This record gives sequence, C-alpha cells and structure tokens, in this order.
Amino acid sequence: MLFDISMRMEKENITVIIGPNGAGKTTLFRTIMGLTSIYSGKILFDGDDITNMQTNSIVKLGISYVPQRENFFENLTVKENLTLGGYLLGREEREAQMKEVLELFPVLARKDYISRKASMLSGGERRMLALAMGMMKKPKLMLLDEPTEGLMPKLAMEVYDKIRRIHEDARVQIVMTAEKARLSLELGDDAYILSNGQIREHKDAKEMLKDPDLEVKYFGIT
Amino acid sequence: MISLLVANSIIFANIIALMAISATLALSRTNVPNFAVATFGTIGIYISFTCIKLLGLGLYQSLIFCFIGGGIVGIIVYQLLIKPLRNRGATREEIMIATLGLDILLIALLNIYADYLTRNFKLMARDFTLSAYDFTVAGLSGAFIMSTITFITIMISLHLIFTRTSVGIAMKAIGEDPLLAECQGINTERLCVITWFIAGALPAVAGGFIPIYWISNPNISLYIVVSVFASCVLGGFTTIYDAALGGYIIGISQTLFISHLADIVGSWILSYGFFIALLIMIITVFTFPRGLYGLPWNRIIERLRIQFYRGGEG
Repeated sequence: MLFDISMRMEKENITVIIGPNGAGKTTLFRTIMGLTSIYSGKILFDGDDITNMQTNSIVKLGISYVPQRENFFENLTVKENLTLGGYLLGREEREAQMKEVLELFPVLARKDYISRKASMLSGGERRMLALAMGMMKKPKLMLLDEPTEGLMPKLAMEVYDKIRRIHEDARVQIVMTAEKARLSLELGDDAYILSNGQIREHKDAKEMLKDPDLEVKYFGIT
Repeated sequence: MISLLVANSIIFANIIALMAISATLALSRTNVPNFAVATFGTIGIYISFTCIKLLGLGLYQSLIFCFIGGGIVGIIVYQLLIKPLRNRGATREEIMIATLGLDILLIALLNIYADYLTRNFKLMARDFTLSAYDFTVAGLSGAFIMSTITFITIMISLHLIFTRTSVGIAMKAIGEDPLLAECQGINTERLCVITWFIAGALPAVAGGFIPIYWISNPNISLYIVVSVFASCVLGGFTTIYDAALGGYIIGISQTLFISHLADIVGSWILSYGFFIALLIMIITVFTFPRGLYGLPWNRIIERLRIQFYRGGEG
C-alpha cells in the first residue's frame, strides 16, 4: 500500500528509487502503469492525467515499463519478443527500431540468438532482452523495476552501462528502482528512499551517496 | 484411387482437427477450456442447412456464412459469458463449468430452431443429410476435396498469422502472460475478441461438412465432443500444429479401426466409434500427459536416426 506519495521526476534525469523489500517500489510502478488501482491522488505524465488509465493506452503515451520478473515471453523467440516490444510501431518503423536496438544489444543480434526461444537465454541476456523490448517502444520514459536484481556485479555493471547509454544517446528519461543502492546511485541524478509505502527522503543522488546513514535509511530503519 | 473408407476417415479427420484447433486456441490464447466447441460445429450445420434450404445457396457457398456466423457466435459468447465472468474474478475451472452450461443452452436453442424450421417451413430439420448437394470429381467426393482444401488453407493462414504478423505473435503472448502483453501496448481485450471469432468460425466451418458425411441433428455434438477433446489432449492443448496432428490421428484411427471392427463383430459397433478416441485419450493421459507437444522430439529423432544407421550397417 502506498500513501502520501508526492514525486516529481524531471525529463533530463535518471531517477533512482531505493528501498527495502516490500517498501512499495513495484507497487509504485504498477500504479503508474494502471496495473494497480489508485484510490486518491493523480498521476501526471507530460501534463496528461494518466490516473487509472488502461495500461496499453499509457504505453501509447510513451511510457515503457520493464517489470522486475516475467519481463519477456519465455515461449517466444528473441525476435518475436522484440517485435512485441515494438507492437505499436508500424512495420517499417519497427524494423528500423529493431536494427537500432540490436546495435545497442549486439549479444541479441547474433544469428543463433535472434531465432532462439527466450527461455534459453542466460540471466544477463534475459535482462538485456527485457531492456531491448522496452527500448523497442521508442519511449519517452522507461520505468525499470530492479533491472540488475540477482545479477553478478560484472553483469550488473553491464546493464547499468546500457541504461546510461539509453538515457544519454536515445534521450530517454529513466526512473528505476534498485536493490544495489550504491551502484544505482552512482548512475542516477535524483534519488528517493521509499519505505513502508512512503517517501522517506528525496535528494540529489550523488549527495545521497555521501550520506553515512544511507544503509540505515535504505533498510528502512529510522 | 483413394478408397471410400480412407476418404471418409480423412473428411472426419479434417472436421475433428479444425474443432481441436479451435479448442486449443481458446485454451492456449485466452485460458478458456471451451466445452461447447463441438456445438459450435452444430451451429455450422444449421447455418449451412438454412443457407441451402431457405436461401437456395450452394453447399460450399454456405461455408462462408458458417465461417462468419460461427465467428459472430464466438464473439457473442466471449462478450456475454467469458468476459463478464472474468471481470467478476472467475477461475478457469468456473469458466469451464460455464462453457458446459453454455453447451446445454446452445443444444436447447438448436433444438428449438430445428422445430421452428419444421413447423414454419415444413423442412425436415432433424436427422437429415445434405449429401445430395455434394459433387463428385474423378471418383472423389466434394466433401473430401473441399474439406481437405479448407483444412490446408486454414492451417496455412493460421501459420502465417501466428508467425508473420505482430497481431498473431501478440495472440501467442496473451496466452503466456496477458499483463505483460498489456505492458507492450497490446489491447488484449481486442485480441481476445479476434481469438474468439476464430475459435467460433473454425468449428462452424467444420460443422458445414458434417451433414454431407453424417446424418445430422441438433444433438450430434454429443457424439463428436469426445473425439475433439481426445485430439486436444493427444496434441497437448498448446499449439495449433499439435492439435491438427492430434485431430488427424484420432479422426483417421477412429474411422478405420471401428470399420474394421464392424467387419468382425457387426455394424452395431459403428455407433461406439468415440470409444477409440476415448481409449487414445486415456492412454495419452497415463503415458505422456503433456501430449505430442510435450514429447522429447529431439531425443526421439536422434534415437530413430541411430536405429536407421544401425539398420543400414546391418
């Protein structure tokens, strides 16, 4: 349950939301995406009220959501997953976007990978596929729910590097939740600490990194 | 030349396979076990009967109306039954029971319609056949040629839709994870409607062939439904290809086996053909419950290849 939440996320920023398990990070994203109903308050995107809108209509506005788990279709091939990622684009636009996305994620472009069932991919490759699907939508905003959860530090760094490139090269606004607080704060511009469904702190990400009490706040002990 | 028995078994296989594809689509794409699938076929029978007897259309022209009419029935069933139940949080099992109820309702409505045709138009709308309207080419019945062409055309069309179009791929995605599909911008509601149009249209088209092949009445689905579900179970309830293969195996084996059995024990056994389907279904459930789809095909092919080479060396 979320309550008393007031957040403003700027287009040019990578916003990081950190908090312990059960803090409400996923619920926050699901609420933005219309997957969980909101009882009071408003969610605005680019000036439009998207509160309780249908999920597919929210995606049409340019918000791409990459869930923490079950973020691709296991029984479909990599290419089919990417096609679905760009479902709202026209055929030619989708093919052009797929080309661009595969340049950013070359591991998926390999001949033996593109027609492989997604369930055959390794943990890191799965994250890359989920991000690539998110990018296929040509989004204005990407909501990434713990994009590095369960990954080895080296792979997590690789994923963060892709996120940085998506933000800088494709000029996509990023809002992400993170388990690895320090790593993600290094990448972020703006940071929130969420605990028990409430915002505990909002600061510049770099400043928050310097906070000696970060771990205490992060784990929700106040 | 194909013998009459083999031709009939292929007609039956085409009918059963189309219905099995419909049931598999409804389950794998929209998570609904549709027990009324065979009665959708009976709707096709009566659309065909109406087109021929009342509108004066040709036997195979009426198939177009079966396709459209069946599709519309599919959409109505989705909008008035499946969707409201889902919105109220019904489980898959509850929806399955609801389709059983729907089956009984549809059979009752078809009986009323048959009586209506008899009373108002003096037509024999029960225990009729439309075989007199069929044609023959080089000793082959029109039903054999047309049902095979229809089956192949539908299979190719579905294959192209599900592999080449984003809408078809999206339909597969909805079956796997509807919420994630919605997060891709897919209007899952619209695609469920399209799926149910197809799920209604296919058995209705198959039903259009039944009165050429069998003496038909409003209750005929009760004799077909076992074979359809046996085909789905044998196929694995997952892909249209396995459903089609399951339909072909059940359809052909049921017809051929029961005919040979009739030669031995007498023609009374012909009414119990569905026992063969039931037997295959039981064997499937106990030996490979995930059906043909779940079999380790790579290992089987490898083993066969080894056997083949060993045989060659010997």
